[in-house]
Amino acid sequence: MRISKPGLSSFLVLVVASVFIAWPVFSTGSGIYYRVLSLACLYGALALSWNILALTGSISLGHAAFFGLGAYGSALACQYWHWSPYVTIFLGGIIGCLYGLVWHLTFRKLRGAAFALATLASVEIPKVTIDNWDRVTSGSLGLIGIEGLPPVRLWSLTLDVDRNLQVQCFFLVLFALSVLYIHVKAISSRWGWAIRAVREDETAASTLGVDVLRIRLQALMASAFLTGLGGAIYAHLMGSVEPALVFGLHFSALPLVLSIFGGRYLALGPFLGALILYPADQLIFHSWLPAGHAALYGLVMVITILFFPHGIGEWVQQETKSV
Amino acid sequence: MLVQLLIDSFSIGSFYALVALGFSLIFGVTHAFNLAHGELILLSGYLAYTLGKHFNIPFVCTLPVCMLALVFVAMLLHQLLRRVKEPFELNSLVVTFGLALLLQNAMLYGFSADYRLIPLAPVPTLDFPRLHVFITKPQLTLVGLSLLVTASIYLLWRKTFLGKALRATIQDREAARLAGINVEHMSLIAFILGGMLIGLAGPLYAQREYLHPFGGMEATLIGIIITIFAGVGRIRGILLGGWILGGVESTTVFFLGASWRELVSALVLIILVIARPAGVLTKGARSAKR
Amino acid sequence: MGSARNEVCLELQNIQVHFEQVLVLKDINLSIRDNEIVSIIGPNGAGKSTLFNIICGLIRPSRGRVLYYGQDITRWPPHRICHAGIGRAFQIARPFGGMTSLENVMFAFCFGKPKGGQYSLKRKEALRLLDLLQLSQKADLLARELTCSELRRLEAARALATQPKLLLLDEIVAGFSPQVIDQWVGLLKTFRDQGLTLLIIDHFLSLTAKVSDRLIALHHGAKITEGEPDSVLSNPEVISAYLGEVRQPYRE
Repeated sequence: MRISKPGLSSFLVLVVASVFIAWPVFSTGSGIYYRVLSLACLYGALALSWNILALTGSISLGHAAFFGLGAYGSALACQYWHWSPYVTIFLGGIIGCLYGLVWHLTFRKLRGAAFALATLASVEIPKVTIDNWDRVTSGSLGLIGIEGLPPVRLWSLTLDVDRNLQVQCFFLVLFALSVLYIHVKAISSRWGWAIRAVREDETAASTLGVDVLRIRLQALMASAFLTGLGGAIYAHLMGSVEPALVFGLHFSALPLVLSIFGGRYLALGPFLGALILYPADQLIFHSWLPAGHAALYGLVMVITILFFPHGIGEWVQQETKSV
Repeated sequence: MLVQLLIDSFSIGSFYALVALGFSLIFGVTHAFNLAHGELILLSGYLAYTLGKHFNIPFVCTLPVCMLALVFVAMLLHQLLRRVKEPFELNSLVVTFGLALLLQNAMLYGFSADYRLIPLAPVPTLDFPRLHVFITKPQLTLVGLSLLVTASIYLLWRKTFLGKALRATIQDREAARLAGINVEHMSLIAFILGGMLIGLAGPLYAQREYLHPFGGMEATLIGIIITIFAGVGRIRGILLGGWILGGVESTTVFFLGASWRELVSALVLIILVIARPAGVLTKGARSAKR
Repeated sequence: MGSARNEVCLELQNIQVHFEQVLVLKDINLSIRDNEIVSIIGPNGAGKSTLFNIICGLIRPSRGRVLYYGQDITRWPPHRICHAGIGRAFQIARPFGGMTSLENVMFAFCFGKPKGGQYSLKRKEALRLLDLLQLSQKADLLARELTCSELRRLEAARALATQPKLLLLDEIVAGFSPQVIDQWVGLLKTFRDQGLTLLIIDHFLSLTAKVSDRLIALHHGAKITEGEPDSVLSNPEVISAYLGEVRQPYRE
């Protein structure tokens, strides 16, 4: 698996991405497109975060745990301690990160399918706990009326992140780009090479001087932190959360599907997957199948694994290489 | 009180064994991790529900129909999984994960999120008022059929040549091939048997629990837990594991209430996976000894 | 380097290893001096590779200690042992298949020592090492496309790139022709001249007489004898351990 070197397909991807990103700044399109792009960026960030762990070879089926913990952590801190959402969002990330530490301590000897199963099961613990802790979390009813992101004052400009969809979109694009930066570092930097070695052959990597446990921990904590952050942002964006939703299979599966579809070993892969699939789901599929439109993701996952095991990003690269 | 608890554990445990048997057979023979196991059971349940509600077919007659239908579905799944490349366990896990998602949403579309149940009057058939114990008809049906089928499979397993061939394939695929066993046929048979078991489990589930599209993962986890506990292809172990798990869950429900049940199952699974990664079979399941 | 010529580089004390109830290594005691070339011989299943796994930290012994220049490294993680200066070339080569030969070696340079430095700066040194092992032509080929012989050389190159003081070579010439073996003899002597200590597993006895200072013979997890090549090879216990096995150097 060659690391993506600059080429025609990367250039194309960059063009497409730039259009997507520059658009909210310059256009005056209708609100729904901003909303879709915002959430596509959020899901892109989630996919990138998930992939940071996947790059070490650990496929997780339980990232919803970090997402949900981030969402609830931030919402509850906001509600009970009245901190600004911008602060509690980071708290959400930290809580996610701490659960990632728990994963490391309990699952560190597990690999492959065993690891995947353990992560899948681990979602239940925070989920059921929050579901039953009625006094604090309102149990299965969930939290409503979560404070939206407060306006930001920049010189003479007041950016209403919560109500102005254009500004919100920009905010989420920035978030996605930050996560993208970390993802890029996880592929092409000294750290990235160590991660790759761990993925290809742990034993060889360790005898060549790579601290395998430390690398896996770093990737896990980064992944968990960023996913928790994403969950927290989601909570403030939506205004309400409930355990079945934020700890649901959907948020464990989606980052997986988007990353595998877009290309797990490409810097832009997971983000690309999100930018293609999420709008397709929301704008096209949703109108066909109002209930059950998420079937698209299941279908994509099956088709991708069978026919494009390295994601379409890689497939595009192969095809354009032969041109 | 304790007796009722035991009866409940026994009945639900027998059903769990049935659920696990289907999973274990497919996994053992083909190494295919079917994360859509629970969703397939739900599918069968929905089928039975539809047959009962819209075509007025009596419950007992829906059973063979469902079993046949799920055998067909299982064979399709077999064809799908044959195209999955290395690493097989992980990839089949992800593919079936996607399939589970697909089925969940398909059922959501077809049946909506409303809870559905096949109504079989929960009239106590056997009553022991002095012991405060009663056994309902659905429970009897559940236990009766589960044990009957498990026993049949056990007989097949131990007393027939086919069973021996299946056991050989589970133990060592390559060696079985060298011994002249057609391993591909064995895989197909495993899926057929698995499909039958899933097909039976569906209606039994639906007459006891509410059917709803997102309830599948629970059943899958149960299948996985018991398979890891018992070891692959050990039918008596699966039965025992089913009863133990049934006991653990019933006790949890009794003392803590139904809402904590999933957490307990999850913890059991995690503990098992850490303690016996060999139960999950892969070469990569355990890191270098350190 | 400053270390005395006969300082003890590696010492194994009472090493015992269990693997699922089976005793794989029984009470192994040995010591390797600085700049020596020592070969470990013995039939299949004698526990030779397990010994290497103990030394480089991949397995922990159930009893005993490993001392490296006097320091107890028994419980050290593999990467720390690598940084301390023990390099390992595996019997079944484990290259990073998706990287090129050059990248594999550059990687080892970069991570073999704690402050390995920037990856991109290691190119020249990596090329030099590839040249030494006659892999220059294959520098830009993906590692998974190399032949068996080339893979073994890549293993050695990678292990060398971590700048070790002690090099563990596991069956480095198994199955090769006499010409290749002679080339390796020359290489090993070069390594020794550069100050390395070499510990070689040599099941087929191809290198043994030509290059080793000392031999250590293992059988069924225990050390049966050690000493000069001639005396060990004519030891009746060693011969009977190998009865039925290949005794001469492998001929094509």
